[in-house]
Amino acid sequence: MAKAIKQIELVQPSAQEEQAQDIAGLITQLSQNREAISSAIDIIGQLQKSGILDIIQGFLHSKEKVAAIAIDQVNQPNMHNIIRNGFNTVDFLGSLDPQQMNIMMSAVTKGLDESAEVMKRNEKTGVLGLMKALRDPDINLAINSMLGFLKGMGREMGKEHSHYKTGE
Amino acid sequence: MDGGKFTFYLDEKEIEAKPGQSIFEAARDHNHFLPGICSSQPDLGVGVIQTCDTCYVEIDGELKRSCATMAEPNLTVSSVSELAKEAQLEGMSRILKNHELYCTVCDNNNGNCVVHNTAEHFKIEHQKYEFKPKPYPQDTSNPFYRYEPDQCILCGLCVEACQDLQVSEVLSISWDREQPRVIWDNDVPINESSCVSCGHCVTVCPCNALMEKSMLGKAGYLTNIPKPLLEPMIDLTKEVEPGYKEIFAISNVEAAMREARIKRTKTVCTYCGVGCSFEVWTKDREILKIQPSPEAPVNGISTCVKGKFGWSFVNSKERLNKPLIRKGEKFYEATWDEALSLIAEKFTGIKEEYGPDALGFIASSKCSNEENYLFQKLARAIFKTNNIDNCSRYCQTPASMGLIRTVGIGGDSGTMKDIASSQLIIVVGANPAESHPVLATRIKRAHKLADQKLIVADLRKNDLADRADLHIHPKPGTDLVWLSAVTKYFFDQGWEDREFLNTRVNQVDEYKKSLEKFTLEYAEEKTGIAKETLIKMAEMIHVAEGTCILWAMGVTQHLGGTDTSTAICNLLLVTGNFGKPGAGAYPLRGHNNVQGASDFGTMPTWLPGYQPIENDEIRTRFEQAWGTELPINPGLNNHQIVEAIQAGKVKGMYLFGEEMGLVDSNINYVHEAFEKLDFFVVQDIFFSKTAQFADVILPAAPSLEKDGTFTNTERRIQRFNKVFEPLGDSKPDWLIFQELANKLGANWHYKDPGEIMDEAAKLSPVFAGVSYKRLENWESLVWPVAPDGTDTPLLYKEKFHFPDGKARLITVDWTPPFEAGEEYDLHLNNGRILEHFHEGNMTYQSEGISYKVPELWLEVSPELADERNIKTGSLVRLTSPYGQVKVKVWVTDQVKGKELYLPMHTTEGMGAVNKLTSSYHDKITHTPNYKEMQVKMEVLERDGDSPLPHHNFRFGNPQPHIGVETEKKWSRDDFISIPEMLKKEGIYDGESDQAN
Repeated sequence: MAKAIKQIELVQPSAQEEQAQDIAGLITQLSQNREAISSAIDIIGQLQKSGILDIIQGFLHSKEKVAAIAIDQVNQPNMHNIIRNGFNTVDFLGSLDPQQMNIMMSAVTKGLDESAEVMKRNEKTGVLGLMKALRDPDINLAINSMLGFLKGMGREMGKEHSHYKTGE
Repeated sequence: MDGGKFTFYLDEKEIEAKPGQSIFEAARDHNHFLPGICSSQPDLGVGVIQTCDTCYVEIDGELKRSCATMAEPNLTVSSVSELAKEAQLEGMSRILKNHELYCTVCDNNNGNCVVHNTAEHFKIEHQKYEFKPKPYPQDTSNPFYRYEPDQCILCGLCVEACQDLQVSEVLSISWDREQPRVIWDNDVPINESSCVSCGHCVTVCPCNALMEKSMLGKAGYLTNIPKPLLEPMIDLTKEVEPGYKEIFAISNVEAAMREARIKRTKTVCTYCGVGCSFEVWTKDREILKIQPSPEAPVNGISTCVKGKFGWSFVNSKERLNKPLIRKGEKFYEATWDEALSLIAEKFTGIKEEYGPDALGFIASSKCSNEENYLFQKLARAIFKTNNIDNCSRYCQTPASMGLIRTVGIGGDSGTMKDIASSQLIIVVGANPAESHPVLATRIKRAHKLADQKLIVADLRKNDLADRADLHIHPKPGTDLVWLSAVTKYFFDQGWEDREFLNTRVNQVDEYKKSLEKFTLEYAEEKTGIAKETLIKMAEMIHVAEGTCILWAMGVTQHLGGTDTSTAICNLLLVTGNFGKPGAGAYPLRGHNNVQGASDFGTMPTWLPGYQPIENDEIRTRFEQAWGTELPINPGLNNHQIVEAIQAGKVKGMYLFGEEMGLVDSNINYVHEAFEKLDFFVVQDIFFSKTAQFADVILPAAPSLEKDGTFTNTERRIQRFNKVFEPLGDSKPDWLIFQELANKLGANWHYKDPGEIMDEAAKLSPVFAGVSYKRLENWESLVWPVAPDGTDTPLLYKEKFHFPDGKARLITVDWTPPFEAGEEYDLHLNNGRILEHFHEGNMTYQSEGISYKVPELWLEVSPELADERNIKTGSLVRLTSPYGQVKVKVWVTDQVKGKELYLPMHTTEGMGAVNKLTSSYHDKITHTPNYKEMQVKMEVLERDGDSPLPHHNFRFGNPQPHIGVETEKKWSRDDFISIPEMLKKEGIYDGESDQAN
């Protein structure tokens, strides 16, 4: 009774119907997200006014070319140094002990205060005065810590020299 | 005694180990991380390959590879001493010489890249040895994956996987060249090699050297950058390279971002009864890749080409996505409401006019347990008929029946573990290497590495037959004779397992007497197998501690299919090969849920869990649970339904997920029956041949679009999870049944398939402890499952499944096969090939698979080709008393003499083998005798193109050897072992363990 058949009559929605369906879907989405959408429209308007949208558009249209140029610019020895130095600086900051750093920073602040005071007095210090000052516990501590700093710095610099090891 | 476990000290922690366990393995089992790239696939288990050199540890001041050094009681081991770390770091540095780290723009940067994670573990800051590209281009010739030599670290995991796990024996590392690389066969492009595209190598690759093409440019946010931009970007990264730490930080962020858009969902494969499970990685509706896992209970990391690469059908434009209703000579799209109302009205009308048994229901072995359960409930509780069956009737019912008669349960008696560990495998009438590929890998591997013996009885010299210790070629349809003769020989020699027979088996003497006629002489005459060969077989069974017999359609699809299956069980009983590990009967189920469809009650005589419908107590239990009366009399099976349609007794039919119009035998007769139906509903994912006869076509959702469970050939129940939403208006089959039932006032409220399983478990004692909770993630249950969740991987350990606990030897006799008549002078064999599944509705949708195997062929022996003056590419017509097909020839020595082989995979009518087969069937189960047909052959065109392209694996040139051959690496002039090198550098003064 029912022969094998292959023909299927698809309810092909016309282009308009399909469009209408899509639009209906979009409108639902719009009304569900009214506030977000109107803020977005506002932002886009601002971007348009200030010409940023134009710039972005131009960039997107030729994004691969632009990126290639950018990479090319970045891929220069100077830039390599900048990036490397950037990484080094970040590394350096990361390696510091914040507590020590804190002590050192407040010491420097205090030192600056004190030096301002001294400048105001406009006094002269002779050799005797220097000797006397060295006996001052505050000055003595500062000088000792400076010597320690120089020692460490010198050791690290010496690592670049091959003969350094024999000096240990 | 705790298996002789002991402890040793690793990094000052006490670690437990088993005898024979390496330090690496013991550490891994106790979550103590040791680096070890080439040990990252414990599933390969071929021993240790020692190629990566990242796992060095220090023991008593000496450096040892932790993967190759056995743990010993009280040993003190350090993986963190300065020396150990120096050695590990050297190993890693050598790897990075071969591998450029550009992780953020690499598609393998998904959090599971072993090379990335190991390099990160070492906190490697800089490359010690400069990375040098290898002088070889990428190989992108295979449609599924590509090899990038520049990224290859030469660990050889892929070689191990190919040689010793999948055992296709295609891959090697060419250690003798100046710059070694992985090669295919004797160094040909991948596409021209013997590679079967199973995906093992890609899965185990610890980096991005081997990758699925479907991943490339898709997985990462930045991986689709065009080359002219990508290269300077990599250069820049290398130039400013602040150390790898920062690179890893960025790539880790990027990998984490990928997790947000790449979904990973566990599923179970639908391409055969082995039951491989794996994750599907998807981005929206796009499948990025199939990712197997060592935790998968059946397959571990193994897959075949269909499971790994055959899923594109899910997004096919040809999928049905709206209900269709026939009006006149055309189908028209309809709403679900229209379609379901029409079905309800028509089926109710037929039921009222002609009675409930004028309806027939055909279930699907491709669909889930829950769907089969609900379908039989629909047939029985709503339409009040037991006329329900599934397609195991076409294949495996005789095997189940043979088992039910003798040992009581119609399923494999053990699991893959038993097959892998058995001393002797006998394969009868099956071609696992193509039909159950992952199961076959376990046999090939045990045969290659563990000295497992292998006997294959088959007409064709298939892959396993080619490897077998003994390949016998009985005359078609005579298996029962040689099986019985071997059994008789056992009795004659007094080799039978006396104690087993005395204590555990009934009807022994009766059966023994029935064997009298099966003398060796009689067997030789009927089967063509020499007496000496029969004795040899008996001897092999006799000396093996355990024997597994595996069989499939070559046994079951005969007039005497049930009896031959019974003879197999008898032989196993007489030799005591049930109820112990490494032994038993294994009917290899062909489809993903052949076992489960029958288990869950789509059978005319059984309610779910093999409970007879005629049993009042059982039926009452179901009636009370379902709140309705159920029909008492067993219904019609598939075959009888077709006959009843022809006889005008069945008027309406509902079929889902089954291409009956191509896969039933004698399809011309079946098509005639379809035409006679008053009302026919077909539910499928594609517009199948069968659907062309329908009045209503319902669009169903495939496994990737729904939740559920499948039961594999081992009786193992595994869950699969929804990956995508159903396409278009299609729906999961279970939901369609529920909606139809509710149209008829059923009031079903299953929220998800888990609730259906709960109901089935409550009503069927064998599934009592099955629940979705117990099947989460990679968990699985092998039924029978006790209420507390204890499952039963090995059956019959204490008793057989009969009231007295004893097995039964069943007397069977040989049924000579069907003869078509003298003019039909060629024997027609048929079955599957590796690349395609069933009629091919799904696999022909895969571009890659269709490229490798675009069309059907007829296998013709060289002798016959000579005699008929034909060659590969000739076009012939085959004629049987039932119909004709036209097909192209492939001349191959896989077949012998006047035997032909015609695969079943065609979605077109032209070559459909079942135009040739008859309606004769197994006398007990009504399974068609597909394997008993003779044909005559006419030559239509002598010259033509080969139906099988040159780039098919069958024309490759495998290079078998064991593993990656690390000793060849060690004997290279430029190789210096790490301990030796550290010694030269003065870092180490211990004993060198160079090259081990």
